[in-house]
Amino acid sequence: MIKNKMKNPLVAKIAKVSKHPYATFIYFGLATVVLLLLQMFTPLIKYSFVGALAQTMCYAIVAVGFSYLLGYAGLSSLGTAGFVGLGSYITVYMLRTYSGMNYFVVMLIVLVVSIIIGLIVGFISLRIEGIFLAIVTLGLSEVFYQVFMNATEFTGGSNGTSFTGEVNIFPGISLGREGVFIMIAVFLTAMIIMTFNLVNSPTGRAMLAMKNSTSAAQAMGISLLKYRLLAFILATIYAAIAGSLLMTFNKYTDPKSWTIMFSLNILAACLLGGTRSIWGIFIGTFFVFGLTPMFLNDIVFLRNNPWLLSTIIGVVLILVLMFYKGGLMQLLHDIKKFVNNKISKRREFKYGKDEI
Amino acid sequence: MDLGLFLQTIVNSFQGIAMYSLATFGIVLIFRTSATTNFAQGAIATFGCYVATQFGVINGMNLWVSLVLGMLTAFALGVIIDNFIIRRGKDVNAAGKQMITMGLLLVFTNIIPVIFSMITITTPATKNFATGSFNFTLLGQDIYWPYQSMICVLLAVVLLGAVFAALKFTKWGLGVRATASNETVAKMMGVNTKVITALSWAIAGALATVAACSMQTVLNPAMMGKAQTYGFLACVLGGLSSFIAPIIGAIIIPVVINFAAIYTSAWAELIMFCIVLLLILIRPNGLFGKKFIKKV
Amino acid sequence: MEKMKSNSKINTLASKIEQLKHKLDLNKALVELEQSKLDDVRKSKVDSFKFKLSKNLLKLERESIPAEELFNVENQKNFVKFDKKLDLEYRAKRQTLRRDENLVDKQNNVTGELSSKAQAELVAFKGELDAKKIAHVEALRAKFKQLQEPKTTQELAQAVSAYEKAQSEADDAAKAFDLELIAKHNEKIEGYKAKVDVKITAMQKGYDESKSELNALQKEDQKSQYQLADDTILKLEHLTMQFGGLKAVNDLSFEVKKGEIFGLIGPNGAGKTTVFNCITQFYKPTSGDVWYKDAKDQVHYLNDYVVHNVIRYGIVRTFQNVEVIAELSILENLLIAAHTQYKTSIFAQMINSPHLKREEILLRRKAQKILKYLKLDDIQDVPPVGMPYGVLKKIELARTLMAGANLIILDEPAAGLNDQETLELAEIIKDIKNEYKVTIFLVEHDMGLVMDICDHICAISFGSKLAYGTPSEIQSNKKVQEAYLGSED
Repeated sequence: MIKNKMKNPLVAKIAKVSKHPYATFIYFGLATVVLLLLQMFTPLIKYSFVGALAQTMCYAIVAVGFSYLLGYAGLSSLGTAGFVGLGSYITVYMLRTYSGMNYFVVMLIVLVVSIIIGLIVGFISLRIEGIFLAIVTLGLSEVFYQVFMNATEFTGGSNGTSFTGEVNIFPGISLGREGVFIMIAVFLTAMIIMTFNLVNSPTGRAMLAMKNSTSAAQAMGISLLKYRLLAFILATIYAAIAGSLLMTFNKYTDPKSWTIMFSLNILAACLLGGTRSIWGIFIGTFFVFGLTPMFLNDIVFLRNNPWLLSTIIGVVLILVLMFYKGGLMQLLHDIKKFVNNKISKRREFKYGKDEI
Repeated sequence: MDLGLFLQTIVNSFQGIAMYSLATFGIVLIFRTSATTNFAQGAIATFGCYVATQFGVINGMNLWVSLVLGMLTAFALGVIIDNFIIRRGKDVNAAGKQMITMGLLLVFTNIIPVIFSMITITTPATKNFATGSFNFTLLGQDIYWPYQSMICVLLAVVLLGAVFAALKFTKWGLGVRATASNETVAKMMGVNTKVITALSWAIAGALATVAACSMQTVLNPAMMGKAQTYGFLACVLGGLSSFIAPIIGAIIIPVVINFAAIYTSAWAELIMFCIVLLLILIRPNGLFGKKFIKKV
Repeated sequence: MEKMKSNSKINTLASKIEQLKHKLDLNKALVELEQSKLDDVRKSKVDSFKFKLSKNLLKLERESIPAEELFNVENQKNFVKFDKKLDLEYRAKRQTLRRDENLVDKQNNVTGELSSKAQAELVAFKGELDAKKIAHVEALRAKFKQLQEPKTTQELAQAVSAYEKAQSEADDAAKAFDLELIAKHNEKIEGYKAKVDVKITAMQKGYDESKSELNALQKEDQKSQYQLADDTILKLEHLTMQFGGLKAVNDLSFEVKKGEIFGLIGPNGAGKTTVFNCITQFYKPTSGDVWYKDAKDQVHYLNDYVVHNVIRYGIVRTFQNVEVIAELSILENLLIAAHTQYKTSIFAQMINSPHLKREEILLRRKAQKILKYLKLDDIQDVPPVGMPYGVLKKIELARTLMAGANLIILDEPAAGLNDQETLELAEIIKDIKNEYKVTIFLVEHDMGLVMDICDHICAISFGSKLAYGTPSEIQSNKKVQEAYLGSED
């Protein structure tokens, strides 16, 4: 062997950095920005595609937040729509009333309000039993809907409400459509990195322990109420932030967007992909929210029958829950296993089982 | 508030009480036998209501016959869902069953307007039940009670009375009570829990269908959303450890809403929700619930 | 009886001390961690230094190697690849021959020997392949010869000496560079260590002060407190647990001594697990008191605690029907047990702060040590799914050790184990008691195990105490025999 044949340490270092767990998330964020640039400077991508992408990214934030509840704490909630709507309405109200207000201040207000409401509702319902969270949040969602409909001075009632103008993030810097898109991409990337850290930390493990065995978790010093509440608050925060970001992009919202159907769709998005995998959730969100506006809008039959896709999603959701808890991510995994198995079977057939 | 307004508000709540009691009872029945909460119940009821409307309003069949047909449909749907979906899942826990019913809700809400393409027709109650009201004097105050509401209350009392009697006196009722206290033991004692739970799902669906049909509104897939939501809240409020307590919750909720609506109609439901939360905070196991000890 | 009121001053001081202790531990490990970090940096620096020199060296090295050897070295990969290809061809041929003679079943298993005719054919084919290989090597060699002129011995010797000289120079340079770096890093480490030491001394001082303050407070407090006998670790007094009309535990009192293995026995449904659940606060006793003395001789009135706080004072339990977390690896299952030992805030966890990383490294090391002790270290990264009961029980035991238990409560540790595994378990339990200086309290059906390992036994029936004593006393006790075998009349 030749002793002095060495690999360039720089190359090795770059290879190592690009394999860092954060790297894929950052690539994803950059890829969305590249799509935006393609739309701005080439005719390859349509204007509406980028709009749909931005919305889907916001919904992905909601779904990733929801995975704390579903995948880690083993709970479900139907209040998602209410909190996304809350984020949207607070944002539009602040930006319309105090035009030129710093957006991060608005977001802080959104955060504080949603955390307070989440704490109250979560504390009361989670003290009883895990499955009561869904019931009380269903009630909350209904109440939010009534408020969005009836508090016309704040919400514009059933006609919805909107604001005009740009979004100020720092004094002197305001964002147009493209700027907001990039902001959403940055938020999405930062939040999935945060999620990745948290689910691999003691907190994520404690939640998983709780989901698998409440008694073991308690015996190991994990307070059920604390971690269930934490999961719910995190889901709430993600939902409210996503609602706020969505508002800065759409600049319009109405109560009809925030019914229980939205909550169910988020649940479906989370479950379809696989509740514990960030990429799985992205795929799920894409199927539930992104597929139609991004690609299928040109197919007349589907445009005229929007129920078809939703029904299919519902049926698949039930099947996933009944037989295939890992969702699409597990499916990919199983396909890979199946293909490998087939290949090795073929090799065996051709060359025989025994060695030499 | 004068006495007349007070009494009238209570009488006005009767229809809500009847409807929510019907919805609530189904929820608690399923919770006690299958240990899960059925979020698709409103959707099943809506389906039944559409069937009843199809026969009663569009085909012009007798109103009561069409109502029974609607109930039968929901009954069948309940049996099918319990037998072919809820029971068939591979190691599904309570939260998983709960999510399955959410999936069912998604499917039903999307598929109902496709099967029945009659969007602008009102429920049988609005169309054909008696109009006018029953006027009487109570404690020197003139009160009117719409016949519409009276029929709803009568229906609810008769149906719930029948089901309670069945629970108390029939073999099925004994089975339900046994399953509710401990499913495994009940199974070992020879109770056919499959039949028990299937019947519970069926009866829950049928009762909720009556609630849906007695609603005065334009038909739409989400029409039972509110009734179901308040049914759930009534369950939590009353406590799920007995069959009668949730009904008391279902009485409290519409009364609170109607009284709050006297002062502010826009925020009445928010006020109701806050009051319910406060009551649950004070009594986490429900107003009449018992503490539940989990076996480790 | 006057119940103990938990003294808030003591509690705050105790939690402060706990935090100080934690910080102290972390800081003590700091230098070591910094050292390993610097070592990594040094290694990568030396590597890039060597890489810079390696280009020139490589050229010299190639020149110093005889042509034939160089040919072999350079074409090693090619040879291996070609060999593999030929081997596959050979095996495919053999398989077809077998198939022709129906010697292969559906699962691709070989069922018999080839006929002599086929054997001959196969040998011929092998010869063909060998010829192919020789041709391949020759072709490569011809190509190689065009590029590489053969060298004379003299030339070679010169090249070798030149290479060796260059190599040793390079090695020296690298070594010198390394030494230089080590010196630099040592200096850094020294400075760091001095800084940390100052911090540690200050902390240690604060810790000692707080501790002595706490001790003084405790001593004073203990006078007014309920007292347990010196060697008692757990005391149950008139414990009663009622479910509806049923008394699962009825007026039960006994004591567990420090450092012993204590067994609770009784026929099925005697309420043994209920006693455990009352001690660990999964059930709140209907009446009666549970007293516990922790490792710091602080007495606790357990009835006042919530279930997830019991572990903080060193009471850790296992479960009758093994509760391991199937979605986590075995190592992570142990980290769950160390949950109360993490002090990082949730915000630090979100950004995966260095503090958290340090904690994680230390606790992982601790977990690995325990896994090694219980001989589970080779499966530490596998989730505990579909494993034999014996392994799962061991994981639960490991978890109690990880939690830093003072009193280990085992709920039917031998249930579901075979005789061999039970014997092994008995050894482990005894060993743990001595190695980790803990008290063990167990409920068991397996009389052999209980009589073998326990120092004291309490027998109960229908929630009431039948007898208390050493294993031999219990064995000869009439009441116990009746409860187990039924009375003779």
